[in-house]
Amino acid sequence: MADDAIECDFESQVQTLDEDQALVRAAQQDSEAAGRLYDRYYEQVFGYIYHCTLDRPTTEDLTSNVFLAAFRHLGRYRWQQIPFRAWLLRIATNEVRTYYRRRKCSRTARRRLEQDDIADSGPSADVEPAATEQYRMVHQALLELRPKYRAIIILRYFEDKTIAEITDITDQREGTVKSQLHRGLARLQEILARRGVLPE
Amino acid sequence: MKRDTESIERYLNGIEAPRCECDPHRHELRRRILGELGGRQTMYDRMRSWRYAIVMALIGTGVVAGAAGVALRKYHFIEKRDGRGYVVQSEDGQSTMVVSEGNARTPEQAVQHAQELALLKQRGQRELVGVAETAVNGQHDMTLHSYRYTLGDGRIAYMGERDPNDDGPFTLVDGRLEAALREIEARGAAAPPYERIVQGRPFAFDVRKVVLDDGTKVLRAYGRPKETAGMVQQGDETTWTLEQSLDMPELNPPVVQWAIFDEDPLPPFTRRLEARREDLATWLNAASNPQRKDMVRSAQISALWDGAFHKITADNLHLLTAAPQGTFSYTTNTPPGKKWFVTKVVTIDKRAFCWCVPIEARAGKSIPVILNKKNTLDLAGIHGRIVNPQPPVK
Repeated sequence: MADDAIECDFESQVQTLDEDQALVRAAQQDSEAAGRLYDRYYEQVFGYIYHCTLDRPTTEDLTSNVFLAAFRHLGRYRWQQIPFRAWLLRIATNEVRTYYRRRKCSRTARRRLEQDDIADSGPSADVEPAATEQYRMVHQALLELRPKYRAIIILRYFEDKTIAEITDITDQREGTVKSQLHRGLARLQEILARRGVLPE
Repeated sequence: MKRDTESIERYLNGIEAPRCECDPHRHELRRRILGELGGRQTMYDRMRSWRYAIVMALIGTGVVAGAAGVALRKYHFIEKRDGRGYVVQSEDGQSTMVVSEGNARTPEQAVQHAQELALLKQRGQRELVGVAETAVNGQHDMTLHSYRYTLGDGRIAYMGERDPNDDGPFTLVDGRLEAALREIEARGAAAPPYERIVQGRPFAFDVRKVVLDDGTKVLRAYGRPKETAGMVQQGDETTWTLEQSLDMPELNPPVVQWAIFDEDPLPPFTRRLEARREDLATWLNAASNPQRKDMVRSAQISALWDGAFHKITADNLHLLTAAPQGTFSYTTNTPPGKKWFVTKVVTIDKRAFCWCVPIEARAGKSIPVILNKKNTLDLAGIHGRIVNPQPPVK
């Protein structure tokens, strides 16, 4: 039974890859195929970015950037390297990273200009109704991590990606991903313990 | 080590990530993406039209010299020709291609492009989409085939080849073919069409003829697959097309606003300048410094020239942007005849100019309009001659 399940899962993954491959080829010349490709991955990309930022307007902006960039450069995408889904999530990861880098710079500049002590909390400080309180606390803690740890933890625990998939998305070796995941988790545990969310 | 993070892992696994639905954004972004793709594909399809394919095959000199080899050839870079592209040649010297700059930006890319085409050709993965036959003084001279290739990354490329059965010698060489084609495009007369089977596929040929200045009679037949010929023919009866390109690297941003005029706007412009000469000169001479004077002059020219566009409705005012190695097509069913392709004022190095290109629109014809340095209209010069400003009296 278990063997069957694995086989089915594997087959469906292969089928998805083949379908994606055909869709990506077709999408370069056919709007309908492009629409199907978009529909297939919109939710996944949007969800991932939302989990990273916990801010709906930002998520909308970044999701737009991801899809616009992807469809504008569809011709550059190569199958031999990574699956299309991973390629999209890689673009999304980079978008989120750029967003936080810019945000950090603008906050620094604003502080200097206004001499104002702005709390360095994430966008999640504006309470998002959809976010559970528990996730919001984790997200606050994740913001204290380095971006590379943050992305891997979100991909692994909230997007349910395997190590192999994270390897594709982050373009790193499996060993590197595992060690970064371990370090990130240890650091997150420390932060949550310090905040009293987890026992020390 | 695993035990260190077990509790945090358990904790994270127990958290349900929030979900966020955003249908309006999903639909809006979908529309935007498909809109962009649609626009690009429309342009792409236009670029792939049979006429473009054949003209590019001929004018773009993507003509392969009798290439009929079986073994896959390796190519090397020979030279770059301005405005044409990269010349690459097979190692055995039997095949030469000119890869346009639209398909390659470096010699290495040109070589790769040529080799990919050679591979596709060897595999038979190409489609014959056009045949151009030429007869000179009643004798068959040359046949060119235009093939469509789908590259690995999904792009479409066209390449022309001389018919391997044509042994030559050829009469229209050293630019004479291009000159003859221009003549045919400008003043060619229609000749009876015909059909012929080429490589097992029926082709319908549209024939035009012209007598060159040296008395040479040239007959040119463009053939396209019969199944698509009817559609084009139907459209050809009522429409005419502008194939425009902007070749002005100095222009930044490289874009102009243009419209088709039924009358030449230059005489009214000069009349307006003459009628207001004194006012304009007074205004110009009142400028306190050269910079201010440039600004006033530019404002006067723009107001008077662009004023002709007031009668143009928004749907008839268009943008043309630079597209290296490409043309933009504009097809219209407005009555043909003498027209002017007119742009609004643009400024380079503080000098105002525009384009005002006369064209002879004919139903079913494609008219090339290339905006470059040579055919600019020097509005600042005309303004200077008429207004003739005097230095301000101190």
